Amino acid sequence: MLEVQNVSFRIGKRLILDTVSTSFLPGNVSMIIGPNGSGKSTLLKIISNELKRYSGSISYGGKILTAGQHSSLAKRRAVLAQHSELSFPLTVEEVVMMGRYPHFKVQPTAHDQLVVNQVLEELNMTRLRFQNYLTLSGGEKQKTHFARALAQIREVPVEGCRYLLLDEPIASLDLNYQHEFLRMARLLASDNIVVVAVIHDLNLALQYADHIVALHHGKVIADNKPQQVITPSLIDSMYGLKSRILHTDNLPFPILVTNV
Amino acid sequence: MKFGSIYLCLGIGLVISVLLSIRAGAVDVSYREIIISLAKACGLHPATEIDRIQEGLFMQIRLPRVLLCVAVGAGLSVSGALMQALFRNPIVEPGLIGTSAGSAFGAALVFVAGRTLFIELSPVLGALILPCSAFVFGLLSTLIVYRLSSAAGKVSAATMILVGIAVNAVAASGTGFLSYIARDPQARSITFWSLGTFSGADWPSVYLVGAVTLVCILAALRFSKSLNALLLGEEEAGYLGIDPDKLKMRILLVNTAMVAIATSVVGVIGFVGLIVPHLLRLFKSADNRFLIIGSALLGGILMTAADMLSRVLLAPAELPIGIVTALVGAPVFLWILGRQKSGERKGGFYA
Amino acid sequence: MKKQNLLLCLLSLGMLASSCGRFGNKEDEKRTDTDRIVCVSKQLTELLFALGAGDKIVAVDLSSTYPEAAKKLPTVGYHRMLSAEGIIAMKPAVVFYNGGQDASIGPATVLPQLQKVGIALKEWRGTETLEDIKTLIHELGVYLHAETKADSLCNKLDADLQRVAEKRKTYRDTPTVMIIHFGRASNIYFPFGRKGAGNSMIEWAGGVNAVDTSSKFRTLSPEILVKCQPQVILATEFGFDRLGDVGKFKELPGIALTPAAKDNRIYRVEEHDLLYFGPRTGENILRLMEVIHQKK
Repeated sequence: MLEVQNVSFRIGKRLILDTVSTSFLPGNVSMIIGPNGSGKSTLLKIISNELKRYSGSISYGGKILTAGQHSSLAKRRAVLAQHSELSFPLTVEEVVMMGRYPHFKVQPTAHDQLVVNQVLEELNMTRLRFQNYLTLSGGEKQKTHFARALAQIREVPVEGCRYLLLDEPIASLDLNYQHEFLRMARLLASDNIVVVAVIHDLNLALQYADHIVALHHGKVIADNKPQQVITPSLIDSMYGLKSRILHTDNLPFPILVTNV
Repeated sequence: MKFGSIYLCLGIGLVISVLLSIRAGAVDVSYREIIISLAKACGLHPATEIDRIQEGLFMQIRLPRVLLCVAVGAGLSVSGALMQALFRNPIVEPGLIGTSAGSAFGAALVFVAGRTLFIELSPVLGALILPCSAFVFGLLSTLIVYRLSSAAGKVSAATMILVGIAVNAVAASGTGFLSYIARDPQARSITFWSLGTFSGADWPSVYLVGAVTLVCILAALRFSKSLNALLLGEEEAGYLGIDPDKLKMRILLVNTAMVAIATSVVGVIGFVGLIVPHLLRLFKSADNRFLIIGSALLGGILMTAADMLSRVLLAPAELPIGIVTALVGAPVFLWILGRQKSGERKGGFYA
Repeated sequence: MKKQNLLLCLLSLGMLASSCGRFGNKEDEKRTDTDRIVCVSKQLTELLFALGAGDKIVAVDLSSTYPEAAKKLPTVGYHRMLSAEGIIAMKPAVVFYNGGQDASIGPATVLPQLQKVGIALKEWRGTETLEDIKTLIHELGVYLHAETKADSLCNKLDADLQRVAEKRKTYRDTPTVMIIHFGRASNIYFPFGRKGAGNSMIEWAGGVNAVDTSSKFRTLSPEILVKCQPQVILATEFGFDRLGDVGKFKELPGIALTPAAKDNRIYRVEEHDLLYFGPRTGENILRLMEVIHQKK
């Protein structure tokens, strides 16, 4: 379980997050939504131990996160960001192998190689393994990083569960990739992993999430199941738009239509 | 593993280029003379004798010179590879961003200000004060460029180059000023230095540069894995369990040590750190372990070859080696740029 | 990884091997025949030729331009930028150079390198006064077994200087003179300062150096040049020949505003006549006198 307790974060005089508290359980696909500037990414960065000067606390499996826990945390928590800065020629396999870095000291072992092979297989990327990362399409590049994240948290730790944090990873991808990623996220959640994703597309949230936290101006304004959170009144208070939730018989999830 | 065969080729290339360089120059040294000199140095007593002058030339001038080339070539090239990983940009090298110029200034300062001062204190200290000063000023220059060109963990290439130009200019004018106020013999040494030369090579400098470079390369290899992670970005590296700030500091220190020691002994030599890692990346890998080892070998080869050219082209006079590396390095770099632009790269090169 | 280790082993073996030997100074075994001399001093080159030993020189430095025969010899580079190997390639029995304040062999590592290799070096005294040059000539004479020739050179020098002293009494003016190297790049002037042979020669010739700097050479800006107001300017051949004639020289910034330019008293001189003391110094001063005291 991942707990956020009374977290506040300032930059200068601006209060970015204001006593945010929530918790994320394994087995759920949890999503954080909110307009730009609501503090979504900041919250995720605090959770992932990227930003450190906040008040309040974050606990992984009951243990409070402290600043110096880089390497031990890296073995069970993977983060996927929106864009990667990588501008050097590396093969897909080399990039995915980087996910194993927290697990070996100098040279990868046979086990690490096995994990990489498995992950590539599961994501249907084996045929790309020796290709230059820079020649891939945007979607394929993100998939590579996803594979890297999977390789990173492949092993179930002795105690506690694993954590996958996604910071708007699909925003610029084609629809097929978006769905592929969220399906994978679903699968992973069912393997007792805590999955937390910051997402923009509210319909995808309705389709895939089990738990949504809505942030507005740094405060939590809703924290519940998707259909309880995404309501016309929430949309109105967050975006100032009139909207409708449509239910159809064939689909297990509703559809949000905005500006109507 | 494909790297193994590349290392083998480079290793053989290094041996060949060392042998050729030993033989070439204003004076020809034959294989016979080489073997006999080495045998004598090891304490063996070969039956045949060779000309004493030839032996002296080989053991005292030629051999230390070629070995120094290998050490400096390796050091500057590995430094280029490290900087490119650190700045996450392939067009970085110590000459470009002012590390070399800063080191040269630090060395010139001691040179002019009076290393005699320190030799009074202790000869060992006196000998070390020059490279130490080079180190301090090289580090200062690099830190300035790094600080000013990175914001929020991302390094802007444009800013980096601009700040590098500024730092280079300040360091170079500082050195120029020193050479102006210096007494004549010192002043001329400083100018000669700004283009780099191996003509002053002797065994103590081979040992010093060789030892420092070796230690630094081994240290760099130890964090090659972390460097790879750094290529993804500082945040990403953090997520993979690496402390980016500690890593950056270590890289900077190791890198500056190599550049400072080389510059304080042979002067400023540019382009080597830039093109050697580039040439290696043509093998389609940017894995830092490969780049470090490959750069050490390839750098040794190229520097030895360049020095050989500098001694042979205008024999018996010598061309300053900085000129040779620039004349060869710049066109090669332009060619690499051209290839990459028209090739497969999609953005990323000019960050 | 294995290849790397192998390479390191080879390198360290190599280093170890070379440190086993002993490379001290082999002074006891220096050769003493003088048949192959490499001379990296223009002054010594001239003296060697003057003492009839020109045929023993196998190579000179770039600045050894007197006499004509010296220009035909192979060179080992500029004396401030020599290469040890270049010198060794000429297989010298001994290398001649100037010591003292004229010492200007560079880079600093060349001479120690030659010593380490076992090449014989012979340092000759620098010459600050006329006494020095006569002593130098005598010493060279002894070394080359040409004492009689040395004596006759010194005698001629004395005689010339005697004539200089007498002739000087006939002049009543003390012109301000400036000797200038016109620089290689951009408008940089290198005047001869108040030290060195050139300065002494001006003074013996009855003139005074218009430039007041205590070091031998210092670059001068055009403004300071004007301030010095030299009445006579002697331009060395290097800069003068680049421009071609007095007219162009006169137009240079700074030069144009001097009395010398206005009176057209700009003359070409050869560097090797003024830069160091030698057997021809006496006759050179005589010629100098005629030039600087010339009344238009």
